[in-house]
Amino acid sequence: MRIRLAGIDVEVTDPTESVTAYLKDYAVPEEGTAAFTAAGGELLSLHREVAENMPRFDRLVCHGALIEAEGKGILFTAPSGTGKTTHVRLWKQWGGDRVRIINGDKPILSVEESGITAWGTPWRGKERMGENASVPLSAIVLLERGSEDLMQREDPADYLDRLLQQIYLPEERAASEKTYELAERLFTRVPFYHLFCTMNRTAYEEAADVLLRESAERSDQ
Amino acid sequence: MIKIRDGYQIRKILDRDVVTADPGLFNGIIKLNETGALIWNGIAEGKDAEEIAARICAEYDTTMEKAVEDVNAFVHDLTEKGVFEEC
Repeated sequence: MRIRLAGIDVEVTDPTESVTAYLKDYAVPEEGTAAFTAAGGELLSLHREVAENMPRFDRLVCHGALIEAEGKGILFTAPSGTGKTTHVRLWKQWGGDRVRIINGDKPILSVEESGITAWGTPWRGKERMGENASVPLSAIVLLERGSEDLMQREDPADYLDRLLQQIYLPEERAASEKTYELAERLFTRVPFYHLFCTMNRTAYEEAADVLLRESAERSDQ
Repeated sequence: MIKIRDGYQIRKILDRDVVTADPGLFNGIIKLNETGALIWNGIAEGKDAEEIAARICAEYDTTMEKAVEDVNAFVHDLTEKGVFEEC
């Protein structure tokens, strides 16, 4: 079975029925040579194999929830259980048609000269949130539960430990070195924010106010 | 004598000194403060606490006593984390 992830063709060998079903939104006709091959026996091991290979193609496999809001890609990241799903649901609920949830769990980022793009993947989390789409990445937001909602632009260097934990680190040496290099390029080029958030509408309002207002100001310049 | 265990390395990311580990050792990175990289390099060269403390004093405005304290605290911390070991 041939799939296309973040613009890269992957040949999945011997996919089981359930894996085939899981991957169907990403299936493409088999044309030409795939960039690499991965075994389709099981979803988690397939994800790992994909993640091991992606850095060679300037792609990072991340843990986070990816949305598109007014054409801008926003990646919310945090350890599991922090409330990424709740937060992006607030965006969809209160942002309406201006917001699209692209991936709820494991998006891929391509880090290229021409720009940084965030991509949906078949790994959408247990809520199965997302679709096969991509968006230019405008912001990375690290979520943290708080008693109040407060979003601030921060220097990613101050949050390196927490940010790198949300990026897949390959086992193979060249791939892991490439990952550090791509991560550095990523954080140098994409604005980074920290968000203390409650589970309320105000969390969406605080984040949207900062992210969409700032980008509106930037485009006016 | 303290040494750095196999699989751990120091590197710069976004111009900050951090400790990274080969996969399977620990998840993520350890951030180092200003003297951290200096102490790490001293350990890597086999220097003892006093020699490293002297280097700290040469670079930073601090006392020998405080510098030795910093070195010992750093070594203790990284030994606890399994990055350094006594040998």
